[in-house]
Amino acid sequence: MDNKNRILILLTIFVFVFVLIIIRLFDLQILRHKFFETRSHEQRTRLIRLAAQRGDIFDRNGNILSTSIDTYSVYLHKKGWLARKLAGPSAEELKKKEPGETSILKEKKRIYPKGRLAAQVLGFVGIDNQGLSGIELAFDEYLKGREGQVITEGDPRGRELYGALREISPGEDGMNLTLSIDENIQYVAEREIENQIKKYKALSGTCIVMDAKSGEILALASKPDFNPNSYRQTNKKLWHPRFLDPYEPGSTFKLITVAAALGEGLVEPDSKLKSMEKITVGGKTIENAHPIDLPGRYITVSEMLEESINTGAVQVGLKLGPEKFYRHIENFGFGERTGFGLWGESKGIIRNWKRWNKPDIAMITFGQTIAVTPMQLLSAVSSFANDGIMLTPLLVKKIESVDGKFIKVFTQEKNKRAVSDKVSKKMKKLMHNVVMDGTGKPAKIEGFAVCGKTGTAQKAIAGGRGYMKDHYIASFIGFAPMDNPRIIALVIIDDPKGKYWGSTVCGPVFKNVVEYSLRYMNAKPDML
Amino acid sequence: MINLRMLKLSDLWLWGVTGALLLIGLFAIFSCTYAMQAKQGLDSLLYVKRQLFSFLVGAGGLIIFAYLDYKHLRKMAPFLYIGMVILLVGILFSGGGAGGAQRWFQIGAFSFQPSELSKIIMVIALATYFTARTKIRKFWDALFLLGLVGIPFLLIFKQPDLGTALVFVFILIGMLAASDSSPKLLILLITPMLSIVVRPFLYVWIVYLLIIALTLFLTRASVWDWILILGLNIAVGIAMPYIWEMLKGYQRQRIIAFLNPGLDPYGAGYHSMQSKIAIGSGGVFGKGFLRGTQTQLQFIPEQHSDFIFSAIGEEFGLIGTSVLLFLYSVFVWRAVIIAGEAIDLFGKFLASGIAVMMAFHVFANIGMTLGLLPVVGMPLPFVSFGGSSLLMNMISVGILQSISMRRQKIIF
Repeated sequence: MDNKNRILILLTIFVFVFVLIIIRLFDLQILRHKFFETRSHEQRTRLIRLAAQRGDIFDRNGNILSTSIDTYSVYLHKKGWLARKLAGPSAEELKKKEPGETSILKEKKRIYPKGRLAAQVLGFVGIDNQGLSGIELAFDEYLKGREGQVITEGDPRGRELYGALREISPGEDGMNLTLSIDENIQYVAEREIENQIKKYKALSGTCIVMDAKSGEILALASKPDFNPNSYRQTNKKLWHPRFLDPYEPGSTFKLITVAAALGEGLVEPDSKLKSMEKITVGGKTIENAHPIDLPGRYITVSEMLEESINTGAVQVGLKLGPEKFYRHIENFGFGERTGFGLWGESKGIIRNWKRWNKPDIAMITFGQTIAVTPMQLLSAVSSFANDGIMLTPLLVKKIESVDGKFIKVFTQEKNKRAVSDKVSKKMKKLMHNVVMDGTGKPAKIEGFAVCGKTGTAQKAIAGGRGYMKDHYIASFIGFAPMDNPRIIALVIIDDPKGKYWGSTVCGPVFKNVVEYSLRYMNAKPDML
Repeated sequence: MINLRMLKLSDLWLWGVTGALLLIGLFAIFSCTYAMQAKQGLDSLLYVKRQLFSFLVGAGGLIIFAYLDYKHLRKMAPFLYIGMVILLVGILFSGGGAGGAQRWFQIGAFSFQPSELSKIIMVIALATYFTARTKIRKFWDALFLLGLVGIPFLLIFKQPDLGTALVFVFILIGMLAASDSSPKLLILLITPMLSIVVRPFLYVWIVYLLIIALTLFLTRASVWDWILILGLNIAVGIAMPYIWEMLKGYQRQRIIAFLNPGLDPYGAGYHSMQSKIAIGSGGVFGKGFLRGTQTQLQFIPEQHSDFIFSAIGEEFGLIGTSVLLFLYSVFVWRAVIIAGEAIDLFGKFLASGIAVMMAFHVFANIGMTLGLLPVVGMPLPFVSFGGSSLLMNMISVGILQSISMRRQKIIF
């Protein structure tokens, strides 16, 4: 081989190598261009989520019930959270202690400045500020806002590109929510119910105070409860708002029985009923809860309510008959959610009259074998205070965006008539008689004409048939003042020990709470 | 010594190509560094200015070596070689580098990389040797040759600078091919390298050894050739695991990453993957000057030096890379032509040595950025940021022009 050939060989090798590079360039820059372009785009852009500020929850007067504050979370790189939502100094301290590479992130923490106040109403949020219970859950869509998104071009260490393009889809802070709750009435209601639970060693208690004009719920007390600031440390069962669940109303339901019969023109307040110690319906013998000590062979409808005589109520029910009775019950809204604001509200347990057992017509007249929610009962009884028009209980007054551009106000919409104006007036008088002369005496309030009805229901065996012996649900429902009702309230105490009568156990709570509310609301006294 | 007439004989293509590459380099360096500098509030033109300064020094070197008759280099060769070895030994003990590497001498504000200059000195030394022994047939000649390349190879390998060490090997192979040496010697030198490549796959290596044995048998090779060629292959194969042990951790990782780049995209294969993404996403027309997101966001660390080709690929696309490739082809083509037209053997060897050296640089560097070859530190001639490399390249141009200008006997 001579030199020329050798140089040719060299040139051939060079050409071969350069062709190889050209082929590779063709492969990368034309054949696989799309793939690499995608990769390039993916790895330089990153989505930064900007958490929205969760809306605050206020009571009707603008007092803060739930808000968010700045806290600091410590993040260990490639490992995850070390601790979340600490105060600034303790986060710094933890960061110093930790040998690994850590960083501190600012996060919003939900706090409830009033502690336990209205805990089951407000509910709580999870670690990522998502609503988990109560109002926080039911109105999460409004409260949480919309998280902002920033798309940045960043270098491999996550630093933003110098003068980089930023595509911003701005977030929106959550909306503020105003409840109809008045924190003062709420406080009193909670205090009174708690005292009574303690006094009678009861399982639990509920006290609901409603504005008799607007249907707005002024207090929704439920004890025992939890501290939403440290909800994890309490029994999960306490998180659940128990006023969402149905219960057998007992004698308070006699109001519905009588109102139905009045509406049908079957009885009048002074109609005579047989004075009986017991009555047998469909093979079941029903006794009075206590012996009748009224003289004579007859009692009036009013006396039946005053002394809460079961056998009398049964007689009224039998006059009505199952179908008419059922239609009235249905018309009062039982078996239908009130939609007062929280999720998980029960419909109650009301069977169609066609499926009633023979004794049911009798049992339902005094509120057994039927289950209603406290809100349903309040709503039904509100018709007596409101010229026959039922009020829908409302827990939320207003939802408002921070910039004020969005406002949603909740008001009465249905205006459903439950009874005639006449019947409502008769019911008022009957209920007033209960407080003046009957079992409702403990609910008397000086200066105000109070209307009310007691209830003492036997507790049904959970998941079974029949009733437990010596276990009762005591309750009291009523409103005041009679002529121009301002307040409707329902008190329920579950399983009081010792004395268990609705009048003894719940009457005083009703009296204290309603008396406070009336004076607080500057209600005009209507009685000497 | 030099006059206008001679200047006319200088290679115009080479001037043009060199100028174009330098210009492209300045723009590419600016693109790679301005965002990084601006982000830190520093002079965004700093790297361009420093490269321009290096260019001035390099231009000085170019003029000196073009002016100087290349024949003098032959006489200077032993001194240059010894000086180079002293420098390389010196740097091993100076310990002036970062990241486990000792490659620089720090002189005031400037750092100087002797291994870059050692490449051109190696070409001069080998050209001198081949001129003296045009036909290398004897065993001792081959051994001397191995020693000549081996000493600086090991010194640079120890630094460690795998890229430069490999340049030596390829300069040697290229110049052997250009010389009139026996094909057997080429086989002797090239087959052990293939052994290194196939050695990790033991059975393939054994089959490969059998093929060599068969070839030797069919060519009726002498006993000496048998022992030498087969012995060297086996020795390399046995030594390989030990050499592997000698490699620094990051070097091993890079080789593993090259063999399997998807394995650890944020580890050793990161450079290769990011470079491919940059070039691939550039497409045909590129993303535009200063618009390359991979480049501007510094997905590739130190992109202005060894990975500058990826910046050009991203911002100027296939058009840019093709232009660059065309310029290098012209450069190598002119070097080969100059080698062919040189009036003496020394000039021929010198020019072919430079041609091989340039071609290997270009191929190794671009191959590395394209993910065809493992990542070894090797600059792209004339374009990468770096003074020592630029100086060496400019001197090479100077030598090529010196050979070109003196290709005709000057007759008065």
